[in-house]
Amino acid sequence: MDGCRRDLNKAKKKITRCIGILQRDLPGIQVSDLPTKHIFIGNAGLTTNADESSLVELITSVGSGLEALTLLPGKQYSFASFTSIEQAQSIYLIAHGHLGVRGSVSPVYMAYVDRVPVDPSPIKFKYPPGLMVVEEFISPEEETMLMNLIDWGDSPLSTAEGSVLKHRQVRHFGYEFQYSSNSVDKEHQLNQDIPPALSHIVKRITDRGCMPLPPNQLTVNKYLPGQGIPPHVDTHSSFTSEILSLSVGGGVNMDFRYVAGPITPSTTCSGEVSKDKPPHYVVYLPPRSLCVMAGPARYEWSHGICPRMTDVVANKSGTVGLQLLPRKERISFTFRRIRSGECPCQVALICDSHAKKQDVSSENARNAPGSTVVEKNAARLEKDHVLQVYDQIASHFSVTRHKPWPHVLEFVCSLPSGSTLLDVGCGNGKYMGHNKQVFQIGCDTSTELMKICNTRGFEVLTCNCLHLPYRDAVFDAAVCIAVIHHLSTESRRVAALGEMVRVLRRGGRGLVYVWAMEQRRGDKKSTYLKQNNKASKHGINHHWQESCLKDTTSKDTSEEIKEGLNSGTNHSREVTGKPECDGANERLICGKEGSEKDEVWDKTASLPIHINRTEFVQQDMLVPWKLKPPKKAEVKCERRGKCEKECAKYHCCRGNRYQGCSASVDQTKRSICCSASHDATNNKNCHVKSSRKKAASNDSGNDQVFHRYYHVFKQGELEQLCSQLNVSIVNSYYDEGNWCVIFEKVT
Amino acid sequence: MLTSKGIKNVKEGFPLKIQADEVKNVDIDFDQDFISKMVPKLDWNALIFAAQCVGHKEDLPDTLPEGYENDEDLLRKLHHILLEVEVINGCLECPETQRKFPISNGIPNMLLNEDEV
Repeated sequence: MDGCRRDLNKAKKKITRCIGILQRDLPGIQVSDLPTKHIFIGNAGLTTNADESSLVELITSVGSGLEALTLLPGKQYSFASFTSIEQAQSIYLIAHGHLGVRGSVSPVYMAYVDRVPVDPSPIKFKYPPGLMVVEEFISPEEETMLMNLIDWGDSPLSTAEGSVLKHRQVRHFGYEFQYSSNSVDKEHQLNQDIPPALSHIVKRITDRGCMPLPPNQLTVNKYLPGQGIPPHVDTHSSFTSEILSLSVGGGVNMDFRYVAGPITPSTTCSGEVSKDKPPHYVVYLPPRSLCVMAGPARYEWSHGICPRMTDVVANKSGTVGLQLLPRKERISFTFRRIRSGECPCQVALICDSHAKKQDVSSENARNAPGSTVVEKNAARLEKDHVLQVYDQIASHFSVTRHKPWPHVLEFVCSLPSGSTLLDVGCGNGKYMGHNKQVFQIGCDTSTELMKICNTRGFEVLTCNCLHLPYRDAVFDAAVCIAVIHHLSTESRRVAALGEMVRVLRRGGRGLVYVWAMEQRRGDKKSTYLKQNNKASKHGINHHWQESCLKDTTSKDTSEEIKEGLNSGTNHSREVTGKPECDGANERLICGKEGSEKDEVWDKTASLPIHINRTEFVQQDMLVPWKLKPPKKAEVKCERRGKCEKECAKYHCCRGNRYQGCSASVDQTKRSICCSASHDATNNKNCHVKSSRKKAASNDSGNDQVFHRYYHVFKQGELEQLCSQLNVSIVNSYYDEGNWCVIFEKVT
Repeated sequence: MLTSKGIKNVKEGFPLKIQADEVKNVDIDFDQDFISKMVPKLDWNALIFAAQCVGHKEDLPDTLPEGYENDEDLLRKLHHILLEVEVINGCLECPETQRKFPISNGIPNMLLNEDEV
């Protein structure tokens, strides 16, 4: 009895002292004699070596309902919040003055408080953008196989193939992952390749789109409970944009910290940047799961594993609450693919490729270019090489844009009656007016193209796709065809998609098409490439957008001339030896070379000019457009009457607002309509085929060449952009040289 | 449907005030089913406001009456105001900043300057 009372008195004295400290630190928090939902733990905090893990362990060992823990840096105390007062009370009665946290000899001293301070760095069970965890990626049988795959007992043949690190054992396949630099020596391929026993898993990785091309580097780590790995970012120039981690045997909490320095657009978009501290998220990787780090999660966030015996994870079954999981032996299989060349990302602070480009050796000197400067330059590039070009080539462009791509048309026509549909970057309105049961409106940045749409009777306006002037959630569907490949930074491409998602209602669907870097699928060339031979023979070329969906017999509709320029080096901006274009009027719109250009964008100077109908050598480039004055087409159009009829048929839209091609229409419009209708008739009825072809080659000497900026997409890139948005991907596919995605807005 | 939300610091940017200098009537076939499906998607107050702006309020009711699906007369009026009345020249005005977006030849120009976003 005496001993018990003595303990009670001691506990009372101790907690009174602790409360004194609390009241000095945080006078706003009131101690309560009556039980509340919040418990102040006076002698267990970050300065006493207690942490989330040990506190959760203590509390969950004797009670339930723990909702949150609050630990303040530099403090010896902490707070625990419970779902109900009763649960808080039962913990208090059992633990106060009796039980201690792991590693401590004295018991904890507790008091009820009315509230808890705002946690400056709560554990956030959130995914950084670009991260995906595929649960049950392998079956339990496969897991057992993988557990036994590596013979850890045998010493590896060379240190490059494996070693016992300070904290864990490791094996390398394909290439050695050098932990000192988080990179690889690309020249030094190991004798041991990824084990054949993993081939079906490697195949699953590409089949499920976790990685566009199969991994060729594998690191296997064995972590015993209590072992971890320091936070790191896999070197940008060494590996491609996906890093995969397969958890075998046990699960683990992986810590992600934003490390790309000052606030960047990709983080401000998600609104997750605190003023002083970069975000830190904790992601639980269950056994058999595949963690896919892509995009920002791979490039801008570090990942690491804290060395501890247990993990605090959000309770999966319950709606709230934390739970403590003991760690088991975990074997991680990290799949990577060696990057050829340098990393294209824009994250200057941590990208070694960028550092090389900047030729700055001192790490401290590497300052991220102010995002506003990047944005300004990007906007300028797009203005010069997208917006202005489209305004100038509008009528000729429109002539070549008449045949809708079947799969886009299918999407538009599949929408139920009464739907609202937005066409972002609608161009000349190629996809408008096909589904009469739908209220469809369009927008584009090109004033000239909007005029063309308007004469065709479509409801359109001029705006930038980065700032759509529509209210949130007003559309049932949206299409964005061949638009975002004209945006010059990833953050702008994501922002454009984000705008599209914003205006969609929940459950609304979007269809996005972008030009693909890959113009071959297997052995099959895209039509864009296929037309190379014939086209060069005639000196005539077609723009991909049009020709790739036409059969090869009808290729004389567009007069984009193959650029015979700079065949030696793609990086030259000089126009040399170009047989069709040596006329005096040759003008490069992008060719405000020299100092002005350099100011525009440091990247612009190095942008190659793409040779049409050839494979892409890099993702960012200028694509030439050879302008044919619209007059010529009109002159050739002899059977105008027929044209007009077909025009009317072709251009009719919602209701019968079509007004073009009537006698009142001015010359320019008529020429557009006429030539368009000829093209639409697939050349069979078109009498001007041969004469136009001749005209094209004869007159090309006077044609202007314009250069449009393009960023062509690699496989998986579009999906990766979508993964940063509030959408689920319904379908993603390849369609004649384009990557395509149909997504659905989630919330 | 339109908003000037893209402008920096503009919260709602809705509804935009229409200033119609030139209005054109076009004829479009009436599709009762289509119009009645569009009605639930409308912000009625905004529609009335817009109709007033262009001088075509006529006798549209201030609130959407029940049973509009079968009210052919009302649906025809809606059809007219929604699809057939077209502002050719004029402008749209942001309710918060009074920034004007010009409409010329039936095309609103909603482009924003660099310093506005």
